[in-house]
Amino acid sequence: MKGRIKFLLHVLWTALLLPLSGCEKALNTKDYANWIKDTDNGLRAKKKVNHHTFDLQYLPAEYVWWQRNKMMTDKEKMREEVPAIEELQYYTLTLGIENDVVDFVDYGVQDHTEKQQKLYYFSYGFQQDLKLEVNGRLLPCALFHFERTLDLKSTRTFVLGFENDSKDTEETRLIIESGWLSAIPVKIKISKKNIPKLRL
Amino acid sequence: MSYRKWIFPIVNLITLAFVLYIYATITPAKSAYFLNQAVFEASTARQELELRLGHMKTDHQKHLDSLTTLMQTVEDGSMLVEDYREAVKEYTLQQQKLTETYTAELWRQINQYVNDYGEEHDYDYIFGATGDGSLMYANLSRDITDQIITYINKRYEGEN
Repeated sequence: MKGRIKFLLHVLWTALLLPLSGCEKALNTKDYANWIKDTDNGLRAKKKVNHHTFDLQYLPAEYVWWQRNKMMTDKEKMREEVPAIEELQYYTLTLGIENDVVDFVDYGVQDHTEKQQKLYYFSYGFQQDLKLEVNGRLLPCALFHFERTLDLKSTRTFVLGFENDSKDTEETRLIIESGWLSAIPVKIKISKKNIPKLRL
Repeated sequence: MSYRKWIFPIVNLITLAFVLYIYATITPAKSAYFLNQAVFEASTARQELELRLGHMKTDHQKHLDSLTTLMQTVEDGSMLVEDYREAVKEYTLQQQKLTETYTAELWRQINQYVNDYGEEHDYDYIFGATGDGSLMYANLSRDITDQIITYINKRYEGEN
């Protein structure tokens, strides 16, 4: 009899917990930021090719909203504004040189003219050489911004935006075909599984 | 005597250190080999680049064909012979240059990924068998060609 009761309680407990296991977890802003920046969670991926380092970070819409409204804790406002942000999927791509031996812009250039050509390319032409593979489709880069930083970092960061018509896609791949970086395409995979919710 | 209680652990420690030292010195190095050409052939990157080279060659051929047609149709077609020769020369050079660039880049990538594979799987040596006699014999059980192919293709596709 006792065994039967135990068994029934066990079944009841499992039945209660089962729906909860499917719920998305919510993290506070600090933990959320740490979670998305952790390479083990799939939203950030690093790669090395030809002495170049590639650091790709996917920015979930809630994170983009929070970055734009850091002082705000209005959940309702976040819920209203996030769908508009979700029209695009945002990424940052940071390019550098292995072991930070030299500034990314100075690497592989012989003189000032070549440096200017490289800067010009990465300011404008680079956008054409970026594609996002989503469900077998190649999307062009719709939003491109080369961050001009006034610091001593030897890396350069680009903010990228691609259209987001299939929001449930769990896997995307950035394809970079730039002669400045590699003669063959560089592919970086992002896995968007189990992204937690942002708790304000 | 109080020092007596320390003798046993100290002797144990020394024995353990000795055993570990012997183990480390007699454990054979972990090594394997792969078939260079097979890896190169099966590389997804190579297949994609070959396709690109193919497109480039088709474009070039189309232009050459149109020049040939033009030579046959215009009155003084012989004037175009020099243009045709120049185009052939230029295209051959372009194709050759691109093939060399792609090949060099592919091998550089294969080298890098094999190096990463070795580190991740704790190999001391991974030999590339080229069939030119540099590796005269290896036990088939040490052949990791398939594993290397899977690994480099995954890495090329952006997986870590």
